[in-house]
Amino acid sequence: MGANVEGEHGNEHHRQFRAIQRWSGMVGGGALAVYGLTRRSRSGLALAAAGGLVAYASSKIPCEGMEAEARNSVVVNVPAEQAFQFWRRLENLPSFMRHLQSVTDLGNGRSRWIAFGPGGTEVTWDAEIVQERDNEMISWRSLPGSEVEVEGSVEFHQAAANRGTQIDSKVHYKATKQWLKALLPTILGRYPHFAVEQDLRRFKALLETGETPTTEGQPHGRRSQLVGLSRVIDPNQPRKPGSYERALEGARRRA
Amino acid sequence: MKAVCWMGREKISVENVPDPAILNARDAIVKVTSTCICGSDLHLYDGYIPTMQQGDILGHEFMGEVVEVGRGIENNKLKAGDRVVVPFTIACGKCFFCERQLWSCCDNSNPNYWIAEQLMGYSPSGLFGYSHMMGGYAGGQAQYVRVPFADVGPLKLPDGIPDEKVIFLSDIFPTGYFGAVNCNIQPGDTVAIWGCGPVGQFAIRSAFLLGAERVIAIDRFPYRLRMAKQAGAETINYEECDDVVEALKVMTGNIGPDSCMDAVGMEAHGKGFLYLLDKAKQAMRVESDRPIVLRECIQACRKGGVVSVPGVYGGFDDTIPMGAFMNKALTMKTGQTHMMSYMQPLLERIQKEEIDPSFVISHRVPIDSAPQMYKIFRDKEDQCTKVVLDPWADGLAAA
Ligand SMILES: NC(=O)c1ccc[n+]([C@@H]2O[C@H](COP(=O)([O-])OP(=O)(O)OC[C@H]3O[C@@H](n4cnc5c(N)ncnc54)[C@H](O)[C@@H]3O)[C@@H](O)[C@H]2O)c1
Ligand SMILES: [Zn+2]
Ligand SMILES: [Zn+2]
Repeated sequence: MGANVEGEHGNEHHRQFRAIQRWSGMVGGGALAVYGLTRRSRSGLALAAAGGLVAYASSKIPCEGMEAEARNSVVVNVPAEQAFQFWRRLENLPSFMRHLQSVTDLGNGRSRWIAFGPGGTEVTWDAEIVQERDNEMISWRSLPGSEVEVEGSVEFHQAAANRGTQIDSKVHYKATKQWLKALLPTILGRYPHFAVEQDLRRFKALLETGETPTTEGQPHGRRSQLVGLSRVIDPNQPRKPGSYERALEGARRRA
Repeated sequence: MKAVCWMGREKISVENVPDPAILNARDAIVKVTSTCICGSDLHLYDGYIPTMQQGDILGHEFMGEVVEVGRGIENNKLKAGDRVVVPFTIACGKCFFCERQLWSCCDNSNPNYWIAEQLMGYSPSGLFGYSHMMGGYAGGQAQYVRVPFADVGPLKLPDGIPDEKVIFLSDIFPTGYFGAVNCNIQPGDTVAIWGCGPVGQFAIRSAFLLGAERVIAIDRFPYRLRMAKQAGAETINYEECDDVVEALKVMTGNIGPDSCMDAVGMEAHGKGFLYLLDKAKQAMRVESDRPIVLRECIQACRKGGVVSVPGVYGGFDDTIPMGAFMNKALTMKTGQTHMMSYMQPLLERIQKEEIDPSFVISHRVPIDSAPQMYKIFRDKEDQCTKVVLDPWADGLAAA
């Protein structure tokens, strides 16, 4: 990822890299997690957490550099018209894009986007619709002068065998100044492909069922300290840069 | 409220925790009147299912009374005051898989789908009280429980029919039945069933209901084999015979059972070299399961027959006789049970008195006894077959 790995060759390389990473991490990390979780001691739990981290992180490519691009697709069991209309009301986007606080329609195809920034701050940009075709596609980009340049698009195709609508979504983020590049992982998550994947899964759940599944806020018994760590590695949580490493370091010390 | 919590391997404690609340529009809160310990919970107890966290509330077999519903639930579907039994699989009712009645494969009910995908490629549905990989939902061994997509899963019950006759519609009766359905039983068939635990017991009775002529049940505990006999099964005590596959061959005139069911799963017990090897590998965490019974099922099955696997497996298994499986042209069917397809028809069978599921209960205890009962059930002490917990009985105070 990071700085533009594009073109056929880049994609092929990327795919192979991902496959190797996924499998090696899965076997190693998975075994470590199983091993750790089945040991009684505290260090056992740390191992489990670390194993979980390996398994999780290895299938994701981190967000580094000045640019980040991510794409993903999902089939949603609703007609294209319904999917298009929900997405086109841009105010709906934060209901499934976790990194967004709000999107406000300013009229004339313009909109104001507010994303979660580092340490409780906000990152704001204005965007315009570049192109749209009813029930087929929408593309948008930030207006000139934004601190973070954003381009995004989404396409809606009828899925084979009447299985609903295939949705392909793509986003591209670019920091305009060196010191702004730290914003990218907070906006997009450390693993942009994964962030877009999660957004699309939530979109699917929301359209198909009217809600996104959650356990946030349910009761539980006494947690150990290390459970706090797994909360931090939970990719559903918007994250502050570095918190992941700090938590892992803390767990290592305690174990 | 009181809730049974997983605090680590072989560590269970009854804790005081906050009451659950509605989190989504299609949620309901159920006040639990009866809840059970399942053989599947033993895999958690023994620490073989990854992604459990200290403090997780256990339990996926429960029933009770609806006390609150979210605003997304229509009144004619479910309302406060309804008496329900809740299936252990959580399904949205709207996705590709739910539309095809593959309820335990629901695409929208596991918020942690990405962990399961690491292990399995795609994620099955969320389950109550069964690890974070399977959704991390708080379970039903508690006084109250939150039920997501409550307009799809819970089955409304008529008044008058006691809990003990319908509680097992939450899992093991449909699971035994599903195991038998997967055997594709034809009139006159012989079905061999490994494991005479609660799942095996319901599988034996279901196989007869579905037209099997002979059922051969395999276990090592005489009291469980006795219960199998009471249903009309022939039995094999595998500790008293040298070779189960050979014994089945003799009993079926050298043909083999038409279908073989593994109602034991990943923690099978056994003897001989392969068992010791599996145990060692599992202890060293290089193999996640002990697939002794699965191997025997494949070896014993007649050519062109079916292997049905309701027993739960967790990860990666060694020395599966793939050659036998392929060359004998076998079919394997498995899965967490597609609960919603079987609950209503099985309730009708109970109402018609074709079966009284309460036969399987050996212990009725207050929820406070859960920590001891996990151990007793795991070690098959005290002739234990099935434990029903009463969340409201006056026991000791929660820890
Ligand atoms: N597929 C599903 O949806 C589903 C649902 C519920 C339970 N299950 C699974 O079904 C299995 C059985 O559950 P249960 O509640 O009956 O558990 P249980 O522990 O009470 O019963 C298991 C039985 O298998 C016997 N056994 C062990 N090794 C054996 C061997 N080598 N040969 C023959 N028998 C052997 C044991 O003696 C015991 O009686 C578990 O793996 C459980 O996780 C699956
Ligand atoms: Zn169960
Ligand atoms: Zn579904």
